[in-house]
Amino acid sequence: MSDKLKINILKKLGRITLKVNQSLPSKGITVIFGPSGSGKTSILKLLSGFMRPDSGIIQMNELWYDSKNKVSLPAYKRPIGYMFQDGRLFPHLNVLQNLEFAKKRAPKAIPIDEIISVFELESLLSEYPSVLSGGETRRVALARTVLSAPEILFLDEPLIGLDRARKRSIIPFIENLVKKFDIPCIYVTHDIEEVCRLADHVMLLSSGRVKDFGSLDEILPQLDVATLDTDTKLSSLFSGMIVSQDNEFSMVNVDIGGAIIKVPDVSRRYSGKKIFIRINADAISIALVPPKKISIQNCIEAMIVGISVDAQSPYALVKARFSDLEITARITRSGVESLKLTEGKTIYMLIKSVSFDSQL
Amino acid sequence: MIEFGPLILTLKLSLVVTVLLLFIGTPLAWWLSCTRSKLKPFIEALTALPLVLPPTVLGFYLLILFNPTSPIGSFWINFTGESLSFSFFGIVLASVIYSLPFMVQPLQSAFENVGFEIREAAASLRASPLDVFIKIVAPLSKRGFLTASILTFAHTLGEFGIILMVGGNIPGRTKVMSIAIYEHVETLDYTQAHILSGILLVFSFCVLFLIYTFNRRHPLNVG
Repeated sequence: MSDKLKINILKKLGRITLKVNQSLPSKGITVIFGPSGSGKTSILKLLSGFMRPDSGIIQMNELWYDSKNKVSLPAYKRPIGYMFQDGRLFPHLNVLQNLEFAKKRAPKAIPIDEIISVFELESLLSEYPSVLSGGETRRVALARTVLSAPEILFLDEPLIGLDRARKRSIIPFIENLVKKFDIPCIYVTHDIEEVCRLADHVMLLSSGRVKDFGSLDEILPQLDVATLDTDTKLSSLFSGMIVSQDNEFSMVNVDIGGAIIKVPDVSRRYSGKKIFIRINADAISIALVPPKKISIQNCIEAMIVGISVDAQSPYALVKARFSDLEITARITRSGVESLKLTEGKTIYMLIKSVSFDSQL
Repeated sequence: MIEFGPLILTLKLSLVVTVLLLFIGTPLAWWLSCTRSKLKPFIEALTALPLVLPPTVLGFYLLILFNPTSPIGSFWINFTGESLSFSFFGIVLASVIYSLPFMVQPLQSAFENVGFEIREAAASLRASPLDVFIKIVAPLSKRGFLTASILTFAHTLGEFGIILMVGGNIPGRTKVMSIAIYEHVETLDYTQAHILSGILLVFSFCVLFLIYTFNRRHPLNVG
């Protein structure tokens, strides 16, 4: 039905210049991920027409913006839905009236009763926005957006400011929305957990530039490194499948890209389940031969694809590839020197600890 | 013996001016609250001018403008057969200009208070700018409309200088309360001056009191 969303825009924003040339898929959730200040929300504003690019083209079926031909559809004429961080419900209308506002202006009718039940709003219909909780507000805002029958949905950090339990309760609604109503979503967040849980595709954004674009599995290993977020420790993220369980020792075997990693099973997960694991760059040691008689359970054979050394620091980052995946280790520079590590060399990465990435 | 003429004329003038200004001031305030035009400060300054200019200055220019030999004045005479100066319509026009900031400024700040966020939300739900104004901004600016109307009404009620300049003192046409009081004082008729001043004082207070009470009892569903 709907075409890809083609973006090729340039916009100066204070200190950074946003430059995006990318086609976004017309199915599933595409997450725009990047540190704050990288221009994520600005992209949504430019796409929705609340902000005007300096130059470029935005097109989805119809031309929305074209600087050369002086086309610029105002926001209210674009077939979009926009869910704002804070919901932005109309304060003088109750929940039902907020929903009806959207329904009345929608190009095609979506049964309001169905939406009310999907988003579990039955008991809130006569309430005014000022008395709703954070989670309720987001649910109403989501429902309102869906009722406007958008061809594409923009979600701007829709879970920000909610505690983990609330987030967990809202996420199924978002997943449901994509599946049930088949609306493609562009989802902006700087929360890695939300990316892991929701993304089909990821666009990595850094200082206004697209650093990478691909499916979640392709992008996942470089998420932490890519953001260079000083708050999070340097680590690699993987999605994996639990292949077997060792109940005696409370361990599970997880398949990540063909390699099997043993992970302590704290919460007794079941096999066949997709999970996310995080391997901290500092938890990896490197050996040139497979070590024996050692307590470390996980050893991955990999090939070095890059070594970055900073003369100011005692440490070096070693990036290695196994299967199709990349993993980053941080060891000392003197370690690199004494093992004579170079690109293309086969190494054994000993992983001291692995953590399940906290699940939303 | 109370003269009701000036009282009725004053109320009529205030009412007409308030209603006219609601129609003129609303679109102007709406435009000012959303425009990014370079003209904005110019228009804002022009709108605020009556706040700082002495009524005599404004009245003087209007008197010249309304003069039957001026383009506007002569057009009016040809059109209606009446002179614009020293007529009821003349003082209505003068009051509309003189009270303009009292309507526009509270409305503009009320519209701005609604915030671009809510407007964006409405636009994302396919509401056109006019639709957004009627269904979202105007209802959320109820208090602003009330304040602007009270201020305009009360301000017109107490006008003196500009009416004296433009309208003179013609009973039934331009002789409003403030001018009648001035005349009584001039002729040392303090009794009549007392009566009219007392009426204006009590009436003004009652209107304001009633409206503020109403405003308090019916808070908007906001916040």
